[in-house]
Amino acid sequence: MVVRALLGTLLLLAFAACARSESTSAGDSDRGGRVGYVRMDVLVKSHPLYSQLSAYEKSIEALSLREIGPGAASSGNDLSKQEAELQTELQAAAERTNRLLKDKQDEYSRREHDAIEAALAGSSSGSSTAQIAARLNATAAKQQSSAIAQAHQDLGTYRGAVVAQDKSASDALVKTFNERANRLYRDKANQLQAQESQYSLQLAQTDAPQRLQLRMKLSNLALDDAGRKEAQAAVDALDKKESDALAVMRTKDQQTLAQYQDQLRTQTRGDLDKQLAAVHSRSQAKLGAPASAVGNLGGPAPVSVNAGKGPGQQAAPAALQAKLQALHRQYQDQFNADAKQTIADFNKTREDLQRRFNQLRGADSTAQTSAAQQLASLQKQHDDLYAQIVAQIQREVQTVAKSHGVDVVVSNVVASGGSVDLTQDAEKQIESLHE
Amino acid sequence: MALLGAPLALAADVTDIGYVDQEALAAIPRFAAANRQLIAYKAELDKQFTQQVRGARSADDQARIAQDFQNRFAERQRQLLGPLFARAQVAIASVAASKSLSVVLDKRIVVFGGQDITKNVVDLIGGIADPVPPINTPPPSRVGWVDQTQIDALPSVKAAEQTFAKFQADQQRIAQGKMKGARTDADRSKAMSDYQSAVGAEQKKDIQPIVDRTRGVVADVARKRNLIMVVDRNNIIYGGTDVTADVTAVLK
Repeated sequence: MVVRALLGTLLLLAFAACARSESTSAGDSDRGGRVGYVRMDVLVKSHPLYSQLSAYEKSIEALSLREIGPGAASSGNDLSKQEAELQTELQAAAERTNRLLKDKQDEYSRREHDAIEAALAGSSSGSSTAQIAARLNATAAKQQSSAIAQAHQDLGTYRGAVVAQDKSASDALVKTFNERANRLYRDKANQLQAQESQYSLQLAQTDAPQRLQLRMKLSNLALDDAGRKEAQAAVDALDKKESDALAVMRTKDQQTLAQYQDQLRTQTRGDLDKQLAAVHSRSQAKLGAPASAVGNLGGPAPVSVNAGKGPGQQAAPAALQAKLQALHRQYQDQFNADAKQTIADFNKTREDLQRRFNQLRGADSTAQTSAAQQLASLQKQHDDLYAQIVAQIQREVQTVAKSHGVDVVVSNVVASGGSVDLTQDAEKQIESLHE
Repeated sequence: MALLGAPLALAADVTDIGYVDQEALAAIPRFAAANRQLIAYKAELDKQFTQQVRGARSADDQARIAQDFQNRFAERQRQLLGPLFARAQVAIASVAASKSLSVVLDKRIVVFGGQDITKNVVDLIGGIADPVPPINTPPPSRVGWVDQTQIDALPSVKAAEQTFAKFQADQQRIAQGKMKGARTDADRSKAMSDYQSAVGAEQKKDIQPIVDRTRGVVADVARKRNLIMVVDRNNIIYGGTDVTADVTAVLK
């Protein structure tokens, strides 16, 4: 912003500075003459279109304060803060999962050791492989239930965070789009209002000679009743003509404005729906992946009971050992796969979240660009109107200068010496434009 | 002799005041090409600035970054436009000398009259040969100019401007906070109106007395030196009479 403001003025200033020669000694010059000056700021304020110009200035200042100030930058900070908070939460969930899986693995090793001992003891004491398998199944089921419960709890927390972020992003989008539509509508309304004011002024200027003539006629005391009536009727007709022409323009403008509002509404709704759908779709994807991962955890894989030999029927020790080892491998593999899958899901979620926040930052940047464009558009409208006002003032000043025998008129003087101040006379001339 | 000469001089009138349209000069292809390059550079700089300023931890940090970017832009501007400005300066001086002008003003402040030398200058700058500098310095002019930046640098003026700038920045922050929390257009309008009233009142208190005093001193100097008017340095393109030292001497 600072750079922008500086750069805006640098070019012209640099030009003036470089083109200037070194100062000359003053001394009394034998040249000079009828030079006048006007205070342009005073004259601009007395112009009929000044209220419109002032409205532009207020809008520009308000928009600058709202959109480009440090407030906008702090919204970026807010985003980063939200992102950091969510990532911390996810990181904690991932760590909890890892811890749980590690505990589970330790517990599993201990149980496996117990199971092997029990199996070995069973081979001599009569404990069946079915009993060992049942114990293993019960242990695994308990471990897995605990893991699933924790995963569901993490998923619930995560789901809440994603839903909250989705709502926050959606609200921000709705606000941005609504504000953009409102600004565009106000701009259009201002533009049409300026055109109406200008048209009204033009009409008044066009009819001014005729109106003046009629007023002079009416002010003639010697005018008979019929003539007075006729002149008054002509004045009324002029008023009506101007009023009708303006009414036609206003009606047309109202229609234009209504159409523009509809168009804006449709366009905003379309754009907003598209953006919201994208936000929701990303949120759904995020909610879907971990949920399916948790769902996949399912129930404990049953340990198959070997051969249905029944109590008291002994398996060969080697066969029992092989069976237990096979069970161990099967369980360990399944457990490892689950652990990897759970961690991978969390990592994927974190990466997706980062992408989403990057996109949110992009939306924030787009909103700022849009505000800057609005500002540029307002500034252009302001400058165009200002140029139009100044051009009209120049014409009026020229008339005043000629009537005072002044050959050169300058504005924005710091102080006058021997020059003539034409401001007051020019002001009167410009104020007559109001009539 | 001087008394006899004066009416004749007045009759000769104000033929020694000229003006140049700087926008027309900026449209000369050489300038336009350089400006395009500068605009592209600025756009790139703006992007970098926005990114860096977001990472700023404090107001000092922001100011340092802004200063750095301003310096980089100024350097690039000097490289691109410096030689062209020098050429334009010689061309303006040459045309002014050939038309016996004592002062050339910026067109933006000339409301009526004066000699428009824009076309002559454009032709000279756009020509193949380099413009030839005039042999003589400009004749003494009854149009004076004052360098506002030197007046702004006076301790009393600087202090008042700093006080006002701080007040304005504080009010901006307050207004931005209100704008952020505003729910309706009426709230926003009220925040804006409060901001403008507060800043306007402070300006009247801090700045206006200094402006009034400066104008008074400049007017006195103009009368003493028999000048017809004094304008700001930024509106003088060539010539004129520098009264800055006279003014600052009184204001100190």
